[in-house]
Amino acid sequence: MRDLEVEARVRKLERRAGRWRWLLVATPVLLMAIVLAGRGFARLEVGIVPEIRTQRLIVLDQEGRKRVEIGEDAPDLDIKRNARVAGLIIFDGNEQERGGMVTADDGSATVALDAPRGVGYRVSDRAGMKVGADGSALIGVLSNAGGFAARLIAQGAEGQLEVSRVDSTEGRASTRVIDVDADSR
Amino acid sequence: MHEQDIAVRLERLEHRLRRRNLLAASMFALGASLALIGTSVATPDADVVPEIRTYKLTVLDSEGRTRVQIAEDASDIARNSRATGMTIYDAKGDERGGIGTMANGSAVMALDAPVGVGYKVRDRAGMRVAPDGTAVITALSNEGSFAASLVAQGNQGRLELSRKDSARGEISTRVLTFDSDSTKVEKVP
Repeated sequence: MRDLEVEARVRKLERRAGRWRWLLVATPVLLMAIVLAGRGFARLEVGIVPEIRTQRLIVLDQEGRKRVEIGEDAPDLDIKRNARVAGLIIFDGNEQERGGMVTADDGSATVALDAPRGVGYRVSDRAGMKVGADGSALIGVLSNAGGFAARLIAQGAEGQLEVSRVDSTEGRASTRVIDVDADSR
Repeated sequence: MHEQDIAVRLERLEHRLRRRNLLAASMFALGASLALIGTSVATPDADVVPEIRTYKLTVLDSEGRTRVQIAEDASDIARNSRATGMTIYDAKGDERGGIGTMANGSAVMALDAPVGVGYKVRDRAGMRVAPDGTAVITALSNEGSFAASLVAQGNQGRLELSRKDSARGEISTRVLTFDSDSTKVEKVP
């Protein structure tokens, strides 16, 4: 009786042990698959992604500072703008915005470069070009005193050059306007 | 004989169980290692990808419209020369400018008028450096002609201011250089 009981228990154990024998075969196969899959992923990472679609791309420098951002202005952006923009914005080593190339919700398209924060007039734009929603175009440089120092304008059917100087004592700007057939102040 | 048989079978079973325990321990160690490696690799990947290489990068706004694209032009694009660079789009999805290099050897930055505003060729402001090094910064009018340009050519610069007279079919251009100020009148091409 006891022999029979022992026999039954041994048989049961043998069956159980046999049931997991596949694991011995499956484990190396699984490991091989993981290694191969890993190599596959690695090749993708170092290779070329055919197309990337995103709502925001941020490029950092080696110090981890944001230097380029491509995207749309956040609705709660702390910088005051005339209109919400979407495009490429560049930043300096202090992570201050220093310019960009954008389209704005007011229908304009603009390229601008800014002075460092705290340098000159509080509105930091110093050079750029803009095409308005009405198709008028201007290319200008602005002084630290504020306002355009020189700009080329295309409006209507003609172009003109405006050169300006701000009188610091009176706070007024004098502008020389040169067009196709006149030179006025 | 029967006891001997049982002993052999028991020994075999013990051997198998030892092997299985070893395997289980190995699997656990391997799993833990993979998890650790996965964590350490995934953390920087999730925050910063060191480099991205692609043929086309498209940035969408909150409404899902393409606002920026960095890529090479499609081979059948209707442009003077095929460009590669960054193109910006307005909220209506129309191209409004870009910065890029062209297949003809020039480098260009341009801003366009909205679709339907002014002359059909929509370039209105921009700068261009030609393959020969000549440089132009210019603003164009809605009439479809250069209105005001700064040009660097050869060893000097000049300012050109133009007016288009559609009724006469003429363009008058005043050219100011270092030592001259002249006006020329040309027929509209």
